[in-house]
Amino acid sequence: MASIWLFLVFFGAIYAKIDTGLLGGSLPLQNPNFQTNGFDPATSTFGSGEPIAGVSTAHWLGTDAIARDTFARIVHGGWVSLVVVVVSAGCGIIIGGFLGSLVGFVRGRTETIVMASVDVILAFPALVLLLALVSIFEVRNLFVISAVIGVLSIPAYTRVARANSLAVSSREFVTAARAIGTKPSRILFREVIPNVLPTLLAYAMVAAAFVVVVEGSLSFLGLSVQLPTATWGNMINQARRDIKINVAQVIWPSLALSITVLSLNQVGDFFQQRREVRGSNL
Amino acid sequence: MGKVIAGRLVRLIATLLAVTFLTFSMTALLPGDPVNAILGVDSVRDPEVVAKIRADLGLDDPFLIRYVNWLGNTVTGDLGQSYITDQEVISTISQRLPVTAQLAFMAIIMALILAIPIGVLGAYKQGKWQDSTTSAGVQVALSVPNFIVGIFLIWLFSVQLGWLPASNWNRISNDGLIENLKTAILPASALAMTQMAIFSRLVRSDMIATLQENYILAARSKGLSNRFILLRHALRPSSLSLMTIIGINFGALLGGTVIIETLFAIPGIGFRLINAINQRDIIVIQGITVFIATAYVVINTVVDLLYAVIDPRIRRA
Repeated sequence: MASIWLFLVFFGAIYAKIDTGLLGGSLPLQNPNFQTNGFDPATSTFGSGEPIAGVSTAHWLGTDAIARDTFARIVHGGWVSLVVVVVSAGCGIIIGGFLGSLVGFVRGRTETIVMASVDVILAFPALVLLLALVSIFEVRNLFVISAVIGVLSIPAYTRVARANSLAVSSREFVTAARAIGTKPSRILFREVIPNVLPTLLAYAMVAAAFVVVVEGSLSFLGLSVQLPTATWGNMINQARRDIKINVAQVIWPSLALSITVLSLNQVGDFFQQRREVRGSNL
Repeated sequence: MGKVIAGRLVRLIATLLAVTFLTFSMTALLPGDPVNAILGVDSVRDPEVVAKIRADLGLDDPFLIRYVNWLGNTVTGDLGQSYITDQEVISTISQRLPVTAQLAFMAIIMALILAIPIGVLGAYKQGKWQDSTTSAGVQVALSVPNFIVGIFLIWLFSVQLGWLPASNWNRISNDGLIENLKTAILPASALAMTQMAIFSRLVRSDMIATLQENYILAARSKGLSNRFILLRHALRPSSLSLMTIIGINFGALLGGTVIIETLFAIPGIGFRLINAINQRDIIVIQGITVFIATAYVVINTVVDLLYAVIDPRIRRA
């Protein structure tokens, strides 16, 4: 269930992205930024769309305050979440994973320095540090937002990787590799990192849920990707102003966001439990 | 014990130095002249004002000297002054701190009041329907972001039922406790939701482990009632882990207050931070960030120390 939902949301977002760009709109999906009641200079008439409309065959989930199709905006909104999740997991696993595995393996002063800097970043409340960093940038586009979230993801991954690397590095096969004179760099890449990686991937799932919430919060505060790009967070923020007229427009993006987070949590729990079971069998 | 405290204090000071340094360097990351960022690029340049800001911030000094000066001011409570509202940052914080503190405190209390019975029930009825329903509910509570909870609380209690105000804040000193609680209960509940889920998960798993201990068996064989065993014998060890998790989660809670205060238009520290970010009021952003980070670090140190006070095993380790 959880994985089906995640597949639908993220595949839908990717397909919609490619579709509007390359395939020229083969999907029955509408343009997420098209105002169906907007002024058309070609015919000099206003469109026939209605703002804050209910569910209909033309607009499956209705329209928002300026008569844009809500369903299309939700599908496209998944794109921002997906990019942020992928970038943060990528930064975390590649940079954080490498750093953590390295210092857990070589120990010594490198470890002290790296872990001390990691601890300093983790000493900040995550969202507050993120807000402070985001406020530096005048232009907030998808690149900036995902880069900032990506960089801030590194410390947590470093910690997880180091803890696992410490455990792996004291195992027999590492000692054996040392004994037969394998170069340390080869041990690190051939023995330690492959054993740390599965745990990191399981952690990435749990972290993904957190990242989706964080991006949603930023969007909700109006500090993520600039409008009119659709994100679930900014859809919720815009729709809440009309909550007295129509609560449904708040419900749809809220559901999309919450179910995605729930699914990521479920999948993450599943992977982590499997890791633990495997770990205890070793 | 004295050694533990001394060790923790040294670490606390080192962390605070690093945290303040990081916050301060963020202003150095600003592209171009900081004066531009402070005044806004489009504003009319009054050379006198520019000169005053340069002198105030010591912008002509090297970076490290600026940091040391700024740190000196910060330690003595001078966080600078907003160039947009002309208000001292420290007085802004002291005005707004009681509001944010009240929200955070209420949220933790509410979360605990709900979480302990739910966790105990889940552990006691482990595997039965009571456990599976509460666990599912906790999973959902864990996954719904607090601003969504807040919006639907507003929708239900303000828009539909009209019982409580959707925004604003009544101060205890002006309007009395009841009026104050009317404005505080919805935002505090929104904040409490996630915390409740985390706490009750912890109580449940802790308690399942504790219930298998020999001393619980001993208590059972003495014929003590279930109620007594659960509350007196089994819950007590969990209070330690609860305390730790409250400390760890305090950062998330502070982040939560930023969002919830903005949603409910509550004049707390978090709402001011968002305003400052929207106005690009660098001095205020910097001051509030340093304040929140310091509070978080100090609270975690205090929790660590309390832990050592309560559990003697940690003192020796």
